[in-house]
Amino acid sequence: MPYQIRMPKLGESVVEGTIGRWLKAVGDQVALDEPIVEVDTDKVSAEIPSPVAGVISAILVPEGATVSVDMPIAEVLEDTASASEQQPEAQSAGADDHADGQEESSGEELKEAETPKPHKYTPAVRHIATAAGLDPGSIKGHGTGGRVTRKDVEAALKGALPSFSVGAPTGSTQEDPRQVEPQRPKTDDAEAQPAHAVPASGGKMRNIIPAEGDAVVPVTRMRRHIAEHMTESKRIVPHAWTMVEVDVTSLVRFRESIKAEFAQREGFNLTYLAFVMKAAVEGLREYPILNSQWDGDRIVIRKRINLGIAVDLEDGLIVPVVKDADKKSIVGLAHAVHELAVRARSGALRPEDVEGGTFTVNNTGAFGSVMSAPIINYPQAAILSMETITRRPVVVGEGIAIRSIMNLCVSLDHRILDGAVIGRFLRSVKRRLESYDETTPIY
Amino acid sequence: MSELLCGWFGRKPYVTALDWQHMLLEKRARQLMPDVLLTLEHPPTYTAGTATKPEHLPPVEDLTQSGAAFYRSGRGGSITYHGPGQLIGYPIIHLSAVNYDVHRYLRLLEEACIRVLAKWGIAAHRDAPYTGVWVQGAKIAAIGVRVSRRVAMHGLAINVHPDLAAFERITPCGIQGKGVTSMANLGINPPPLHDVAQELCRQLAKLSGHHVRYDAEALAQICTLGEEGT
Repeated sequence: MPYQIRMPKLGESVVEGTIGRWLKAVGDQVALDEPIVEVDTDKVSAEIPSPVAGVISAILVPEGATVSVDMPIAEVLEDTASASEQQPEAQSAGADDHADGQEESSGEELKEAETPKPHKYTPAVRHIATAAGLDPGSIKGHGTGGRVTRKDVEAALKGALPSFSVGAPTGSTQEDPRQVEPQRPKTDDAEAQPAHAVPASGGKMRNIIPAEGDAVVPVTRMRRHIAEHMTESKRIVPHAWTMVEVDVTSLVRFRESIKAEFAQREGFNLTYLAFVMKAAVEGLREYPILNSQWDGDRIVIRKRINLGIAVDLEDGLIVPVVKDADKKSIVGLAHAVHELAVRARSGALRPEDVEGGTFTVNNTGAFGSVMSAPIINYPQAAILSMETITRRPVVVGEGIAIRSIMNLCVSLDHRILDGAVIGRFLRSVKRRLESYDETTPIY
Repeated sequence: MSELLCGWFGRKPYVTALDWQHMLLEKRARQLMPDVLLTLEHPPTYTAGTATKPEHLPPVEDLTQSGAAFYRSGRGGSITYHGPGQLIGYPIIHLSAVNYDVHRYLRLLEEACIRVLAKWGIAAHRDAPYTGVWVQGAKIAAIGVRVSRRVAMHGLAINVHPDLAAFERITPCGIQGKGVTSMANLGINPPPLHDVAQELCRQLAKLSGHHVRYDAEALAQICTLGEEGT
């Protein structure tokens, strides 16, 4: 029987609440006391913590809908391993104070989205795991379809794989010295934990004792997401890297000539990014294998070309996606990027703005970089970085000329792509960029 | 009696104050510090709360062309304006102080504003069902709150002498047909913001059963270092 989460009574006179935003989706793992939904009522937006741990099995009320207090809003299939021991209180979620339950909450929360659903392991594997004091359901599987294999268990025991939590969480009534002052690791911390305890997914793996004067900054949700995403990509994808030099002298001249007029007409600056995107998109059309994903025993080549564009934010970065970039002109691409960047920086991106990317372009040159080795935006197959344009002495014929040079770097998934195809792709992009001049249509 | 740790921070960008609040909320949720009240003012900033309806949100360019910042905010409520001359109060208060009743918390914030304004001879009042504090049908103090891990953040804004024209670009709080006013607009010689801030600290502490402690330095240290519990 799934546990029904109900609209909590957020106050004596509160009779209804509006679902603002679901923080979890069906199939997501949720920890006890982990926020699952934002509820708006009057002038308050409240994160509602889950009263149980488990997997969200149904979301009953869509975002924007208003429902009365006590109406079921979601269902959770409880973790059988922990349900009996945690004894979650059946009161409405907002009403009880689990101040010291937060620690286990944040521990569970760190499980990655790919955490296998319960029972993705064989009885034999379960036996090995439980004999060693591990919860097989909490080990990240690397077998077919995310299955937990014997190797995973062994690796987990060695602590080689960080992303799992161990055993059943301690009851919230139990005194746990780590929860009283979690900011200050104690020297006897190791003794306070069970011998086999390995912290979950990096977040709680604290080995550093801050010295006086050190600043300790909590990891934000965005930072955590970036960390998990990057680690995952580096772990799964065999990265290879290559670079070409592009002579963009004529493009620079062209852009300079239309820059002022463009800014006046369109209301923002025309950057080189739009030109590089255009050239990259045409290169992708020529070599569609770069617009693909590795999928076990097959490679899926995407028809749509949706370009992810890395946008730096004050506290991290986000990669909104320009959909169907191959159907846009240079100005169209510039507009799409401008709009997404403005929305990203004002926190107004919609979920669909960051979904569905098939290839990523990263403007690392914006900060003066002349070479960078980007991490692939997994599960995409490659990422292109454009570097800053520098005026350099270049051999032209038998002489030396001053030319504007831009480096283009590509990191590629070597399971899918080899140097030869990347070489051809980059040569194609390079030729296009070197051909851009006054005669290039931008609309 | 527990304490309400208060401080006046002058003019701070919205994002800085937001970072501070997140930091403080985290610490408050873990019981690493007492309840807190940050008082400050923002440079011109428009913020859209979680209940902002698309029709109340003008094009972002219209808002930012005057140099104001615009942010989507996780607080409850609709769109509003913050700027110089407006006192901001951000209480980071554990909701155990109001028996986990968010409406009671809103009424408490309103009452604090009403009492602060009374000190300068302004008879402000509630106007149910609209949250906020009003004088003669115009809003003088706005309220918007977010609750996370049973701790409240964001809070209230009292118009002492802000540029009221800045509100004309928006439908403040999504309520049509109601104006915005300020202490200055009501003919009061506007007091320095930090005087109003101090009164707010006093009143909020009184209403929530705290005794007040002013220590901006200690607060700033918690905010910027992110360490040092109490």
